[in-house]
Amino acid sequence: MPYNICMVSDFFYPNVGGVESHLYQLSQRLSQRGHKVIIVTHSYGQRTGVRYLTNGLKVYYVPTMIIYSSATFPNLYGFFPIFRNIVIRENIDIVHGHGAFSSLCHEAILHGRTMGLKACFTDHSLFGFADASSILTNKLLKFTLSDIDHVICVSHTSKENTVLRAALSPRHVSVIPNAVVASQFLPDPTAADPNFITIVVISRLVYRKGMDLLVAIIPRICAMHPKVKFIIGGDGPKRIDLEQMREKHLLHDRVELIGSVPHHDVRNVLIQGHIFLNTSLTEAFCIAIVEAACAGQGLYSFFSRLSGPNTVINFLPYRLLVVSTKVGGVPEVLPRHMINYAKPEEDDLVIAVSKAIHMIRYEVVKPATFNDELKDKYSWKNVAERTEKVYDLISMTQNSPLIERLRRYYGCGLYAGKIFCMVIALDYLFWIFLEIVFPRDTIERAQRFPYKKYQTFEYSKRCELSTTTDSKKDI
Amino acid sequence: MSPSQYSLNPLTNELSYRALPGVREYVVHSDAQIWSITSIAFLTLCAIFSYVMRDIVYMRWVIGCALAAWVWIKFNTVKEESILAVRNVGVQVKTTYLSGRSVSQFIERSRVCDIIIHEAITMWQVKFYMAIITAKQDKMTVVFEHLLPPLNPTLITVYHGARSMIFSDTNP
Repeated sequence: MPYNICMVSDFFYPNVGGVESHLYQLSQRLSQRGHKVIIVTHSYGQRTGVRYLTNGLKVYYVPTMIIYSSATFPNLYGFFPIFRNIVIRENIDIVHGHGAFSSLCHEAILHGRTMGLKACFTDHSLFGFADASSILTNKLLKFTLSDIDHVICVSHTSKENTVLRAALSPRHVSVIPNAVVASQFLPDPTAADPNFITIVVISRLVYRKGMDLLVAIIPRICAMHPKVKFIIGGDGPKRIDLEQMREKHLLHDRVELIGSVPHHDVRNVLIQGHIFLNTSLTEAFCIAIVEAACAGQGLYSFFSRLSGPNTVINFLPYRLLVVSTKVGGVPEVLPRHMINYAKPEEDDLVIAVSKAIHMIRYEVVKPATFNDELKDKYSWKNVAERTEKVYDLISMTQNSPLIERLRRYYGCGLYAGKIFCMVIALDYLFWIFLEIVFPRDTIERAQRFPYKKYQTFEYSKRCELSTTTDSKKDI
Repeated sequence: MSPSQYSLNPLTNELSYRALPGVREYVVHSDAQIWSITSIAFLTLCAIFSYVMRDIVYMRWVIGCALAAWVWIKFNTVKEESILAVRNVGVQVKTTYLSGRSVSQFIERSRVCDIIIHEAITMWQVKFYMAIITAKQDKMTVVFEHLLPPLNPTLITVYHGARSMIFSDTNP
């Protein structure tokens, strides 16, 4: 049964990141399954208004004020009129919010519930419980998730974390991991330098990605193994530390800092390496290591998929070994034989990397069809199917009356519960006011995008291909 | 073009058109009048106030400002907006106010790149609008900018009519 879904998040293109690409890919697959998906986000500079992306994905860039790192200034009731207008004109059934840091998402879920729609939330990150920002965000999350139909988390660790933070029942939380577009990360064994063993690191250079650990282990590994090179992609506040380390130990020829890498170039950097290193201190679900494992697969599996049986196949046993810190949701991501783990400590990481170098050098590696394996395991088609099941589940629930909602919010805390109830009551009154002043029948419904006209393949075949290529127009 | 022969034909309650070989004009009216009920009520209220408080000096200034504001609003209320498309010549977009004043903009055929319908987010709503993309200009020219009629009969009719004049060589 086709739904009309509104995805809301502060984080969307042109901002680049995990949440953004998750939103985009999931929306594309859901619209291929026949649902209508729109995305609501805040305006980025001059980019405000309505835009159409590939396959008719409609994005509303709502003008709001931004406080920090692309997150909106929380003005609770200011967003309500325009959100109500968008929801009515598009006949939305389900509001799906992404990202706990995004205030637009929390507001949209709140207003959606007041209007009687079904709401769903996807959590992409892990949080602590001890520091000030975590305590506040957790309370806010508890507020939003007091009255929600379903929550989706990207890993089992993330599910535990969210359930504890927001005091939810685990029955209302599903785990749907992220996916990767495997065809964007096809391997190429000729790209790596045969004289050296290259270790690739691609991440934002910030504290929580373990850059201090990286600064500590690079000199030790370079001293222990003379034929090892590092390529570090990405940018951030910790870049200065890495450059200082390079100066101090005179490693200019061994360590290469290539700066920030756009997403379409990531594959070209990954194929230059033999080992992928991830040193993060906390990670809900590390999609980077899945991308790395995809990008370094045996040539055999790549050719056998595309060429006929008479082609001569050049068989090179080769793969991109992944070395990662065993934190958060990382152990759930890759099978045991594709990854080496280490504790997030300097000594343990050095041992793990040395073991990986040994495995590469003496070719203990087993050639495998990793790209195919991962392609089946982590596909966006699978994520969209599972998300659709969540939507089926929440469509069957009944809407609770206002008094029941107030009762749920009241249980948030001694003082917070009362404040939240006041917020909800005012929200409800504001909604009644909007219904009177801007009646529903004066709002003109939007035209439905002719998806069928722009789809020349059946949707199952379409899902195999990458959605980055433009859809072919009907002739 | 004598108005008696080529008269304004109403299509909907707000849209009317005028057609000649090679020329189409679409006019959207608003139902604003100079002497509407609210204006008469407001003026009688001002009259009552000025009589009741005729002793208080500063109230004259207040009532004077209120009357001036009313006059200014009436002068800037849009009575009708029109688009005139002439084949191979160009497009003219005109706005007529209640006071009789009209503001028009002419775009010649060589500068018209495209005529489109798109949606935009205004303060608290999302509205459809029709615009002409002109060459060598940063901003599009929005047709029916103040009245913003609905999509379903009005904008689509005007869209097809104007496009058939501008972007085709033969008679429609």
